[in-house]
Amino acid sequence: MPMSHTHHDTIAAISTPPGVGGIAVIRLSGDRALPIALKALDVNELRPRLAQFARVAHPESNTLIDNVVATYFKAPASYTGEDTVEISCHGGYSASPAVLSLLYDLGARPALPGEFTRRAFLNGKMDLLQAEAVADLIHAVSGGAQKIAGRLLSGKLSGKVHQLRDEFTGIASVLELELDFSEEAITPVSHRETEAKIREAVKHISELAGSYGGGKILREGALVPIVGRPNAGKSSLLNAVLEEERAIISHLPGTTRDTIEESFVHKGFLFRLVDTAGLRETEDHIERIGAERALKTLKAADLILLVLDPLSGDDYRFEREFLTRYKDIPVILVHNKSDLNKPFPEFPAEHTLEVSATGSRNIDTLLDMMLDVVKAHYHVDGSSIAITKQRHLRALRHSLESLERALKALGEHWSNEFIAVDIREAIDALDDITGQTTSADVLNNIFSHFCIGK
Amino acid sequence: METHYDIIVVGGGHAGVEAALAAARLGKRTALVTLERASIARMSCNPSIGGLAKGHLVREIDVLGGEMAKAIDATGIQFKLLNRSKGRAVWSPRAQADKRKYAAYMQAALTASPRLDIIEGDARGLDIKKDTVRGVLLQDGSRLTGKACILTNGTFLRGKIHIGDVQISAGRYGELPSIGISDQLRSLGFSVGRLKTGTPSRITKRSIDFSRLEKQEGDPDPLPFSYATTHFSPKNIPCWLAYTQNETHRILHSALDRSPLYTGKIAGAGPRYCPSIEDKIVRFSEKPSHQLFLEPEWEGASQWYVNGFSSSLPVDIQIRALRSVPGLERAEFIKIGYAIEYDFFPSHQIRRSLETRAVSGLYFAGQINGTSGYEEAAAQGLMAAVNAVRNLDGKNPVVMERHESYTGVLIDDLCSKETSEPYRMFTSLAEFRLLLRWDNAHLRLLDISREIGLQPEAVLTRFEKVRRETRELVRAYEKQRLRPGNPLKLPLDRSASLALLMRQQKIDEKDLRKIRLAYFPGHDDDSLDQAFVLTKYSGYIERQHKQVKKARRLEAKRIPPGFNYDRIASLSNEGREKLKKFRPETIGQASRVRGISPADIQVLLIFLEK
Repeated sequence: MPMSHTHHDTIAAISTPPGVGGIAVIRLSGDRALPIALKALDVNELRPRLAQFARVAHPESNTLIDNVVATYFKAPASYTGEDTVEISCHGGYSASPAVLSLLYDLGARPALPGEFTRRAFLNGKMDLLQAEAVADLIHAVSGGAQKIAGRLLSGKLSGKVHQLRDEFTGIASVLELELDFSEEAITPVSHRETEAKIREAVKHISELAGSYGGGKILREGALVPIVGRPNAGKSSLLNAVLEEERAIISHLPGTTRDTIEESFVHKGFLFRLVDTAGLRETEDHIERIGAERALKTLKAADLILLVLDPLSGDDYRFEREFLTRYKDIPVILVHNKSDLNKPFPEFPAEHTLEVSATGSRNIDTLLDMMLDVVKAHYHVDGSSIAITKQRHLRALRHSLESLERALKALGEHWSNEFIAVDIREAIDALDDITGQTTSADVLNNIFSHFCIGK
Repeated sequence: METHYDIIVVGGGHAGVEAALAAARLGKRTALVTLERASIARMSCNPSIGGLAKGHLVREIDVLGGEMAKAIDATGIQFKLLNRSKGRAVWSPRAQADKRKYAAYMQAALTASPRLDIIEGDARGLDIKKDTVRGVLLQDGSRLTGKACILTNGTFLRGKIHIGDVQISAGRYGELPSIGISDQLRSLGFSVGRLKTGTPSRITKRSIDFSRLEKQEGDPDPLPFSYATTHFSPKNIPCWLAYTQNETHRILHSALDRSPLYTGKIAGAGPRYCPSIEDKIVRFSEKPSHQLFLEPEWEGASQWYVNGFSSSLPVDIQIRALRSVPGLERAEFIKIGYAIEYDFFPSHQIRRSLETRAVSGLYFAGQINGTSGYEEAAAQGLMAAVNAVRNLDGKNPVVMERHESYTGVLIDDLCSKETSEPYRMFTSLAEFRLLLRWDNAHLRLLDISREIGLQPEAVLTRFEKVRRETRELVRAYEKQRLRPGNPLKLPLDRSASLALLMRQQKIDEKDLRKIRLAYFPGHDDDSLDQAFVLTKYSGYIERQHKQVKKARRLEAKRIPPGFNYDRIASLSNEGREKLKKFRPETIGQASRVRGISPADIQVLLIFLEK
């Protein structure tokens, strides 16, 4: 009988991020996790769920490799559902790799990317959505992202999808009733009623699909380019914000030398602030914007900060054109240099705020406003269920397409068995989200997005 | 006495008849064991054949070489194509039968068949050695030897009739039950379940006041079931519609405490789709009235069937309740309605060939597998015989996929679903319904029918011609353009293809004859019609083909027989238990078993990948 190697051998990897840290945790999972660990450690037994101190020595030279704390999780009460031993070693580049290499010598093999979670999934410890959520949780940098991943993990999205599925099943059964029981004295449900139900379902699916933006923002952060003419104070604003928000995540050069991206977390939400120095407009005309990448940033923007300088003193043609062009993206008009007490021009903008970047005035208000606008515009209220994956969005769109076809067919007076085909397709598309009909390829793709040891 | 046969069929109902005929026609010495020769092919319940989805089954039986379609064409007294206002896929033929003539037709067919003996007797046991069936033991001590045995015992296995508080051991009303076989199979380790079904009263024609009922006739232009039937001009005898009243419901309600359904005397699960009248008034208490169909049991019958009034209430209640129905005030009862409980063998114990997994050479067909209905039984009887014969000949069984036939759906469902009520065919059970039409059974099953070998070559050649012409015409409809002033006299502003006009519903079935005369004079009407359906519904049909393709990826992944699920630690407990119980032959089949989770399927896929 062919046996998959992914199950009966024992895998090991360092499960903490690479680099210098206080400790590094090695995870060892599989049928032989316990005997291998007992060979590596100088203890006679490992009791389940008990953190035990142990020494790891080289088996031949008997020289000490590291002092560790080992915890044994007996199957199935472990993350993977298999016998698992977690060994906390000293971090850094020498101790933990040496322990790991000893485990390999003793019969473990290096874990493939995502393999621990894959095993957990295969052992029925989590469903597909939950497995994806684990990947998100591991990569989550902000509280919002953790929350949404946490909700997925607790199966809330699965629940929502199942609820939708039930709705569809309800519609399908009404359709079938008229086909299979047309001889019975059953008053058929009118097409209008069916149509109303399908429209209701369309609404629910659209809402869930619409949460993708918000879900994505929670997961990846809101992308916020700062736009304005030269010397409007974009860089000062960026610095002022970063000054205000001490929780800087990264300071990375942008994709071009002209864009700087700074990430920070404000009240649990991740923002990615981009200084679009690349927008070197000439003669105040946005058409002249040359930097393609800066334009790309604008296209992907979730919120734009348009910085106005009261000193520029002309008709603000650039700003007005800009607002017309990007009317689909929320914009906060930031009137900078408020300390100069110059009058600000009138703009038909929903969100306006006067700040002084250099004087650090109203910066905290700006941050709150950014948060409010993003939350309101993307329906990110922190408690709703949101989808975060392109895969989910695609499935929901397929489902929507099927429902739209069903509505069209109803309008054209096709009989129920045709509409039933569309509803069945809509159900199948939903099943793709929860993994009901997901092919092994999709699964492998999902699992390959994990880092080794996660 | 010892008599030697290749195949022994136990039971002379609709499954047994098809099984015996098919086995004998395929060249095997066949015995049909029945309690009573005269009861062969008896319709024990409603006097009709076909109906939604069941009509599809009958058409498939016909194409594969069975007898049911021919029998009803010859003996039907009213024919109707149901759902005609809807799309083609859900049209389905139904006929009222002359019960006496139907049974006589089948008995004559059996008598006329070479290599087939009808043996009156009660099969008390099976001769099984080394997990292989060797023969059948009769109550008189005689033994029939056979290489394969097909059990089609219907409701006779430990049958128990309920009428109110009264319980009678019986197979059908006035007929003895069969006891030995289910006890023997139980002792061999087969699991046995209990189901319930029911039948309504029969009343005399002269006691019905037809002036107070609604008349229901068949189609004026009836279509036959069988592809072989020509010059079809059957009788068109009406049925009549009556309605229950408040008073009826009140009487029934007053006696619920005397109903074995509600007092717990009936343990077996009954069908939800065919509830007894007392079930209807309880479950649908908001309905002020229920339909009853009055149907003659044969041409000129004095005995009429009260369809919709199945009951196990005491005799006095049934009589009073029915007499409260307008038009039936003076009803005289010939037989009273009853419920019957019977043993069945939950069908996870059979393979898709219908052979039991535990005993080789032993096949189950019909109600013994938990199904209900003449048509479902007949389809299984036919396939069981076909596969028993093929087994003897060393050939692989014929197993139809879900996109090929309703028969395939039926058998696949039996092998992958728990039976919680008698299984009846519905069009909604066929996920590829648009492809499984009543009208294209011959084209769908042509190759399988040839493989089975029951149809004469001349018939297959005719089907082949239609299939070829259909393909040609589908292309021709796209090319052939109609211009203003066309021979069909269709008012057009500008020219358009036949195909476009069909999709726009400007051309329908009625125009096909004219189209044939004008453009395709050498082609068969059937071919024009088939191509018309494929053209008109092309968008949907293409989508269904895509869905089939997607589903077949899992259907094509076979699970080796005897696969040891205990070796896969990662299966869920419930999943493992269900896999061991149903032993699905493919991953696709496994995915349809309730309780086997998507994660279990992924686990299996990964294990079988290499």
